[in-house]
Order: sequence, then structure tokens, then C-alpha cells
Amino acid sequence: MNRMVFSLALGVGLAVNAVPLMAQPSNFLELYRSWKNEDKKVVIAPASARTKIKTKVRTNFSGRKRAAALRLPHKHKSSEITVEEVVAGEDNNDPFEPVNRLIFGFNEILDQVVLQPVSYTYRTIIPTPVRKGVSNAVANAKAPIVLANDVLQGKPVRARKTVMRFLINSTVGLGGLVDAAKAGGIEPHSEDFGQTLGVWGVPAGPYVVAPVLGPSSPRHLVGRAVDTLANPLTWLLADFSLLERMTPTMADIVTGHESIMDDANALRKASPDFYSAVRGIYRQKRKDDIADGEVDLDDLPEIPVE
Amino acid sequence: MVQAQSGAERHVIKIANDVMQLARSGSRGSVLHGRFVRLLGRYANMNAVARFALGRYSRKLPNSQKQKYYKLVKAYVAGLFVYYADDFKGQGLEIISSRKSGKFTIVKSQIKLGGGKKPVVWRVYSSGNSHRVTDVNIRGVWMSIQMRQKFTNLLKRNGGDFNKLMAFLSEYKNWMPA
Repeated sequence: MNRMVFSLALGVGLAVNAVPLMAQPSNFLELYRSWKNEDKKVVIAPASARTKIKTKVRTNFSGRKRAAALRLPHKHKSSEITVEEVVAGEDNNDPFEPVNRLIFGFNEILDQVVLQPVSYTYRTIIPTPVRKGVSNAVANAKAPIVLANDVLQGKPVRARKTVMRFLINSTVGLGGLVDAAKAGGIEPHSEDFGQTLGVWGVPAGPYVVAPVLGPSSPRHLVGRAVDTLANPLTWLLADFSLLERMTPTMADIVTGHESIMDDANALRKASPDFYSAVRGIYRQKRKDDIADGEVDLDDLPEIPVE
Repeated sequence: MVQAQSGAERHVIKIANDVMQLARSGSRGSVLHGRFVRLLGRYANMNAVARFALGRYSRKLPNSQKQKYYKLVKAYVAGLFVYYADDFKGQGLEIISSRKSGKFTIVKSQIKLGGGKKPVVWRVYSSGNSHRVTDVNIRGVWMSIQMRQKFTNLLKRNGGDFNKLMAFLSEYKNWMPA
């Protein structure tokens, strides 16, 4: 419950803080024209005008110009960036960067001191099939949340798959320990309320690093809070001790961390700045999750081929 | 009914087979790295990706450093392949769908790996009968965008000093498995 309240408070707090940041002057067309006129400095567009202008740009432009004009990031408090940066998609929409880096540093220490040793120990002493079973059970326990979000996003086919997976894995799959549905050809997928908000057109807002939770955005944090509140496990375990209530969350964190630990370590080694590498991957991954892996050709940057 | 494969799809299948064969070859370290550098040269337009990865700094790269930069980007990407070689030891590639837009085709595929399947999306540039991969998306992340974010951030933090970028790219020798 503590974690839930914390997430909710953090989510609401960040969302409230983000509102004034979304009210800076400027618009997409002005930006586009500035770019055409090769002005180097521009003021970033207000959220209020965003949708309207975006539609206008979509109607009036096509191809590369449209893609470039639509790649305008969200607003910043320090609202000046170069048009070249915007067009090149190099704006990071990270107005809290100094604070984010501090929290990121804290999370890194936590990762090195607690999570990595726990994950290594878990990997060393628990055989792979058992780890796989725990991971499957954790994923199966999230099915009600996935289903709710499938429905909220208006995706009946995916909702049906989620129901089928839950029924098969909870019975034939021994309470979720075995992913029998996957063996039968029903592949898993994930959905959360943050993604649902994205599908509904709610902007992600600026990049935020949350303590313990890591890379996020106001939209994602609100989504996490809603998912936690809507999760039947949260209420089923409400009267249990703190340790018992935290068990599913801890299992989720440890299995999740163990599965990405090697990739994260590789990224640390192969990145000049781990913070910005994680930020970039988080953004791309969330966008991909919201689009269910579908690629919008217009949204891809132009790669000039000679 | 089996649909006829497009040139871009055939190109992707050919690359994937070569990559998986290379990953399973038993070669390691610098030998594997050298072979993958050659494979990149054969199938991918790495110079275009390298130029794109510089973002707004691409016009500022001195001509005298261009060839060195292109070579290092290829070596860096090959280093990543060596690091993740085990992930590419798949049993085959399955084309899910492909969509053409102008000279580019987006090919969605799955690598069969162990009991599961790993989705990989390819962006292929076609000119006549010639095809070249210009980008790859693994687990929702486009390689070119990720590289551009890394490189432009590094250049921004170092006042556009290309020597710093070159030094970073050369470090692949330190983290690549021997």
C-alpha cells in the first residue's frame, strides 16, 4: 500500500508540476516556417495549440516536410532550442535533467548495491526452469490489468487472447507457472494504463526519472498508479503484512531485473553517457509498446541514402 | 497460399541467414568481428546510417575524418554484434509482413530462437534490383535513432569535438568479448 500511495503521490505531483511547463508560447507552423527561413532559435509550441496545429500540418503538408514538422517535441521551460535540433529529433524533452540525473545516480547505486547482487544470487541458486516458472506466474498475475487495458484501448482481439492465455495458464499451466498458452501459439503481450493514455492521445510529458521505478514520464507514472489501484492483488493482499503485500512486487522487480541485467550492463559499456542512452531507449520502447510494434513509416526519420 | 517474396524480403532472409550462420560459426572475438564487418559492408548502407547518426553535426564532419569515422561506426556496430552474438544464434527467420513506401520497405520478421521468437523489423532501401538495409529495430528500438542520440549527445557535451566521438567509437575493443 505504501508503494501505491507513493507512486500515486509522485505521479500526481509530477503531473501537476508538468502543467505550467506545457504552456509556453509558439506553434508548429511557425516552427516549420522558421525552419524553412533557417532561423536558428525558436520558442517551443504551447500544448493548447498542439493538436489543432498538428492537424493543420497533417492536412497541408506531406512526406518529409510533414514528418519533420510533426516531430516537434513537448515544451520546455528553457524554451529555446535550435530548429536544427528539432528537425534532427535531437531535443530530449528533459527539462528536469539535473534532478533526473541525480535520481538516476541514486537508482544506479541501488542497482549496484542491492538489485544486481540479488539478481545474480537469484540466477545462481535458482535453476532456469524455476526462474522461468516464477516469471510466468508474475506475468499471469498481471492478466487482469492487461485485459482491462486491452478493453479500454478498444482491442477485442488482444482482449480475447489475454482471456484465453489467463484461462489456459491458470489451469493447464499450473496456476501460471507454465506458459502453456504460448506453447499453443497464443503469444503474450503487455498493456498498461500509461499505454492506454497514449492510445487516447494524452501526451507523455517531459522525461522523468522516478526513484526506484526508473525512466518514466508523468503519463507513465499516472498509469502505474492507476494499474496498481486497479490490480485485484493490491486489494486481495490489503490485510496482509507489509512483507506479504510486497512479495508480488518484489518478485516482479527481481525477475524483471534479472532478465534485463545483461542488456543493461552491455549498454553501460557501449554508451558514452548511460543516462542519455537509457532515456533514448525508454522513449523508443514506450512508443513502440503504445503502437503494439506497428511501424508508422511517416514517423520514421529520413535517412539520406546516396 | 504462399505469397511471392519481394526483393527486399529476399534480401532480409539472406542477411538473417548469414548473420545466424556467423553467430553459430564458433568464431569469437576479433575473428568474428572482422567477418561481421565484411558482412555489414556487403548488405547494409552503413555510411548512410553513420551520416544520419551525426544529426545536425553531419555537415560539420571534416572531409579528412569522414573515412575514419565511417570505418569506426562499422567496427562499433560489429562490436555490438559480437557482444550479442548469442542472441543471433537463431534457427531461422520468418517474414511476417512487408510494406513499401517510396524506395524504402519495412519488413517485419521473427527470428526463431530456442522455444521463442524474437521480433526484428528491417528498413530496406531499394534501387532497381539492389537492396541495402538502412536500419534495424530490435525490441522496439531503432539502431539508427539510438546511435544518433548517443553520438549527438556526446558531441554536444564536448563542444562538437569529433576526436572525442572517434575515441569513444574506438573503445569497442575494450568491451567486446575476446
